[in-house]
Amino acid sequence: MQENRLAKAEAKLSGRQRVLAWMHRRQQLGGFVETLTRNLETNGASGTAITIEDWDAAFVFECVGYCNIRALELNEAHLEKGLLSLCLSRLLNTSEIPAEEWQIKAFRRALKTFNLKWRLFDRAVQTISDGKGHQGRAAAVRRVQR
Amino acid sequence: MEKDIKDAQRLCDVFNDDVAPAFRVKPITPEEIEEYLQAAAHREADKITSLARAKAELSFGSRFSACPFVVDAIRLTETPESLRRLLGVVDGQ
Repeated sequence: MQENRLAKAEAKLSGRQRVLAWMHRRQQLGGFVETLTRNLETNGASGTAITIEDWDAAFVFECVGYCNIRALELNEAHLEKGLLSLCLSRLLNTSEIPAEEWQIKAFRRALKTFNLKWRLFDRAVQTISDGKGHQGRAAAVRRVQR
Repeated sequence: MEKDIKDAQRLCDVFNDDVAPAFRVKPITPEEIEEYLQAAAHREADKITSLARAKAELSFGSRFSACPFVVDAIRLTETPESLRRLLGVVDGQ
């Protein structure tokens, strides 16, 4: 019954709205990894497929997919975080200055890059969401309207 | 994601407060981080949107239209010299 109502509501939505509604629904179901895992476990039976009919919808769908994959890649950096913490702890507990100056500079750079990776992704997602990217959503909409 | 950003910042704070003065190196300042983000965030956003555009074109079977976006995305994956400098590339790396 509810599924029918949802299907009717979905039919009234335009391409991009439909993707956003689908994303919202997926978020309610536990998020990207959760729904994907459930979908695989049930051989596709529990998945809520999305119908993509226009270029704008496909663009938003692909953007979301890429951002989710990038977030998962960054999440897998536990080893990097652990190694940096270990090095930091080692440096905190020694008064011995490394023999080579580049060693501490390289560590500084690694730490800075680790910090930047997260912040850069966060800022990029913000830029895309605000539609401020040079080739952002606004451009995509213009293209579809042409 | 917020938790991970906080964790990364905490590591930087420890480095700035305790390690940098002891080893006489420059701390990692927020201005330094912001300068890099200002230069790189649009580039990263463009890379994501170029890839999405290419895949959207491909999903509708327009292989020729997808090519320029793929080229753009590949170009944007290379780090230009200006960003490498902001990262603080160590001599010999």
